[in-house]
Amino acid sequence: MSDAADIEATLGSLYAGVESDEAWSFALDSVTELIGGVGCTFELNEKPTGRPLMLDFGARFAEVAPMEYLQHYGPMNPRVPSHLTVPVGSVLYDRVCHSEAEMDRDEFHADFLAKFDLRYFVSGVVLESPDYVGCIAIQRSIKQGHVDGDEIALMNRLMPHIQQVADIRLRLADARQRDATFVQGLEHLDDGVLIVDAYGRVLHGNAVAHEILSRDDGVTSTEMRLQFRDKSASSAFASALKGLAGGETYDIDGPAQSFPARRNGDARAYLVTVRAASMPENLSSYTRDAAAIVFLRDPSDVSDLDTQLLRQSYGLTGAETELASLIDRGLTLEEIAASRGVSITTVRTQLYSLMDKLGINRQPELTAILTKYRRLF
Amino acid sequence: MAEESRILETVEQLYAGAGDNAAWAVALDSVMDLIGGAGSTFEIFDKRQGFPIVLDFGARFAGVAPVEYLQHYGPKNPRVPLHLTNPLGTLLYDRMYISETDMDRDEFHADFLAEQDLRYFVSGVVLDSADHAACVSIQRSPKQGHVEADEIALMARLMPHLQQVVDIRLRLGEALRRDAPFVQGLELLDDGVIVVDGEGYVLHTNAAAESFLSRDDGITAVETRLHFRDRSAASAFGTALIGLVDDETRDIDAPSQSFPARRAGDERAYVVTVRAVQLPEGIAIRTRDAAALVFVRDPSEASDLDAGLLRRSFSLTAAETELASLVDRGLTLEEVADRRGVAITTVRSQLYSLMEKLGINRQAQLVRLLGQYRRLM
Repeated sequence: MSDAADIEATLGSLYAGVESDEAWSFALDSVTELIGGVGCTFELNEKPTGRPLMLDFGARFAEVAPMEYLQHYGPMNPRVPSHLTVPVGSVLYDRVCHSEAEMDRDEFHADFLAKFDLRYFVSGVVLESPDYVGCIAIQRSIKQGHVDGDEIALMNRLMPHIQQVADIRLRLADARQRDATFVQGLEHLDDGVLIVDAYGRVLHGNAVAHEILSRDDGVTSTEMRLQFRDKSASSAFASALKGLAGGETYDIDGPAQSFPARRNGDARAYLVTVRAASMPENLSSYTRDAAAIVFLRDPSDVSDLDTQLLRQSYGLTGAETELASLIDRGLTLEEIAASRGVSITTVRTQLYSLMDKLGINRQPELTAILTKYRRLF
Repeated sequence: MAEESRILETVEQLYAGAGDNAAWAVALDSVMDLIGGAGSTFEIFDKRQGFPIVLDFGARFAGVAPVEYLQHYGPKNPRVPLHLTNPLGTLLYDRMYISETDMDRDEFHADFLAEQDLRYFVSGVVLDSADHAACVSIQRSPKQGHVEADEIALMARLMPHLQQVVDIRLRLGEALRRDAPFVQGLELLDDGVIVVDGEGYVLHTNAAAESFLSRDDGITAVETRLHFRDRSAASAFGTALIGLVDDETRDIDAPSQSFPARRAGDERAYVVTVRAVQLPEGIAIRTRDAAALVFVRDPSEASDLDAGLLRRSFSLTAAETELASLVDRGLTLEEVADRRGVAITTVRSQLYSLMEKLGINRQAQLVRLLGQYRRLM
């Protein structure tokens, strides 16, 4: 059995593997070195087919042929089925899967493994989800031979750590993906979205929010802190934040608080909605926690009607689509008739046909329904 | 060697605490057991303010008073400045900076530590960033006394592992906390938001999308794959995805693609917008990557006018606010007059007053503007 210092060094390298894909391949090398083998692989296999979805390998595993494996040999790998049926944490090795005679006869062993001078292995089931299983395997040459009791014991000893490192890598990857996806989702909204901490400091803002802040006409961020020129908005914001931060009264599902924030000149007040942000109670963290999500809307900024979408939705003619767009901009039927040089009855006929296609029978409903066909982002 | 295997056990306990809070408290205990002490703590300091902002402690540290410490004694702790100025990896202990007589005179020692029968410590700086520092400390009683060379050497031996575990915990904590408000921000929208991979498999849905999918009247998830009943919508979606996934044609900044998705019965078609998602380079341990954000809107669903917000924005009277709300629901002025039992001229004069306050001079603009005063979340 390797001594404690070797295991300690392997643990260090293994946990360093959460940092990057490169560090992960060094981590796989360190496991190879401890157990003894030619190289180490980590693969995800789809359930229930066993088809390999992904293959990582140690940095020093020179002979590996990942594309050939994933595309051709992986699906016939006779080791895979055993890995799909045992519980997570299990350690497997060649002898429990097949005999020497079976290995000689098997295409995967004879054509693929033999090419790289590989034959034996010891592996562990590291991850399991409803869709896939993840396994780590030390690949051994003919000369290195079977793993024995000592090596199997070492593998068992490492398994909880390999599982934890793989789990942390997965959690980090998922969090990054969610983060990127949802930041982009908010980025494209028509409304401004700001994420602030308990002191009103801006942690994040989408494009519309930054544009509104840069106008400096009612809502600004002074030294990162969200400021309202309008005193009553300022105190409404402060009391909303206080309500959120005030321990006892903190209520994630509580109603959002909305208030207008007056601007310079005649421009219509911004609409502000503040809602508590919920934070996961996971791990210690030193960054400022988000306390609230602030939505900002400029009621005078109305995005364009997506005429193409409206037309497709109801099978409108070109004239009906244009009429909808002019009505949406606030023109009266008389003005539309005059601008087109047609009679008011022609316009009215088109209007009835438009309303009929939209399934409405009152003109005020028309304006309301058109607001639903503005660009989503 | 007994000592070596004890160290290895401690290292294993430490790493077990990388991804879980309960295991972290046990990990801190195991360091205390190895070095010898009455308790172990992990603190994060805000460098600018010069005091601790996070305190974790071993599961068996009975005497600890975290709230009292963070709120009151932390800023007075004379050990803190040492941890702010010494680089990552530095070991610190009582004798380095304070004499027995100074301890007797110091308020933090006399009032806070003495009450818990604590006096001495050994600690290591495990984080040193621009804004924060962190340390793991072993707290010792007057009876346990100063740490000696052996204990300092043991602590030094653990330091690389302590640093690595703290690094992993912070990485994970940051990642999980960072994405939470964004996920929640999208969750609050009235529009449905669905995240899909390149093959149209659903990775995430917000509450609104969940409700649209559960209606099963046009857009559904068949075995987690997004499915449109309307054939032309299905092919528009397929084309949009191919455009997004194909590296050759993929264009993150390209405008989104919108199309209607017809529903069962007479219901208005859903409005669907598809936009590409850009993922960060990073850990590649995942089988499905987000490829697109799909926004879904039901044009028949109008959220309520936020009458209070409208009223405060323009200082409306109660009658004007009610009128706005009735007009928004599609009632004509005649119907409003009937309903209230007043003359049409009264309603008309309220309407003019309302429009004047809103800064508009055409009735057609009214409904459109009111559309902006629906609840933001």
